[in-house]
Amino acid sequence: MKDQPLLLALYYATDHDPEDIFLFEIADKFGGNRISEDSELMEVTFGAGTGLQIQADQRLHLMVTNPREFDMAVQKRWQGLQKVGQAVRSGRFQTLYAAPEAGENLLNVLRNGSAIWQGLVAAGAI
Amino acid sequence: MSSETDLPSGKVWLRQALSDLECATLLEVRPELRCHAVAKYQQTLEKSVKALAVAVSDNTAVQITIRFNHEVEGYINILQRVPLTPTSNVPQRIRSLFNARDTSLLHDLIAQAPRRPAPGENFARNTEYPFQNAEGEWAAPADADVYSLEELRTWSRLTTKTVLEIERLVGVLYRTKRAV
Repeated sequence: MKDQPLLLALYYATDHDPEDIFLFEIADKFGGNRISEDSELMEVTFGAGTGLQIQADQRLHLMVTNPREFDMAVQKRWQGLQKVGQAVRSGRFQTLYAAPEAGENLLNVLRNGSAIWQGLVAAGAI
Repeated sequence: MSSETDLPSGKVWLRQALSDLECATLLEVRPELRCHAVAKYQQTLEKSVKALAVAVSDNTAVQITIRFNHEVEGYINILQRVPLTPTSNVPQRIRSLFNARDTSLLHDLIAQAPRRPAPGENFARNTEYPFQNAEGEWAAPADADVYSLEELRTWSRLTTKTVLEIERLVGVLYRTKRAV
């Protein structure tokens, strides 16, 4: 999308709802590049019957953020990002798109952030 | 041809709403311009609500017709009544946005748009035209203390919160169909 260029798109799996589609996107200028005051990443859920080409019993979970908010979410360990981080940590994801350099850097931040979380979990800090 | 002319229409409404918001914040710093700031907050709300209505129409099974008038409450009522469904959290997010408490305050802001009084009633306070105060005397919206700083701050806070949340909702709604 020209007004909100895509930097990174991941398809990832969660422990629950294995039949659903989980997508995570980082788009420049999404939400005006502002950071949610509620420390909450925007995620919408859609089922079949809304014009989407998905199975009747499937739901699409689309989580979108912008680079500034993503950076804050990683630093502050926002809850919404943790399931994405867990998927990246366990290798249960697929990169659908990574903008040259920018997207790859963001993916590395997500990987490194995941490693930090893993350490904190192992230490019992979270 | 501008690259912005192929933007979804919901995003175009939103672009204007954000411009109205910026204008409002510039106006509110001068007490003599408070009535104009209030008018701009009202317009910000109107256009952001329409932006959301268009985005919902464009991206869900719900169809809402947008008219070129200043009607806002009707669209809020419709959006509050988008049917809940177990397969989508969008209706819940919209209802959360237009919760009872905030919607009551938004209605107060909407009511500041000028309107013809019912027969026998005084012209009510509004942001543009002369009106009759509690004593029945004519006053101008730009007169001192017609709008208090407290009122302005309440509407500023609420309108800003509403339009920024709508900005995020509109953004994600237009990404959804493209995602699959």
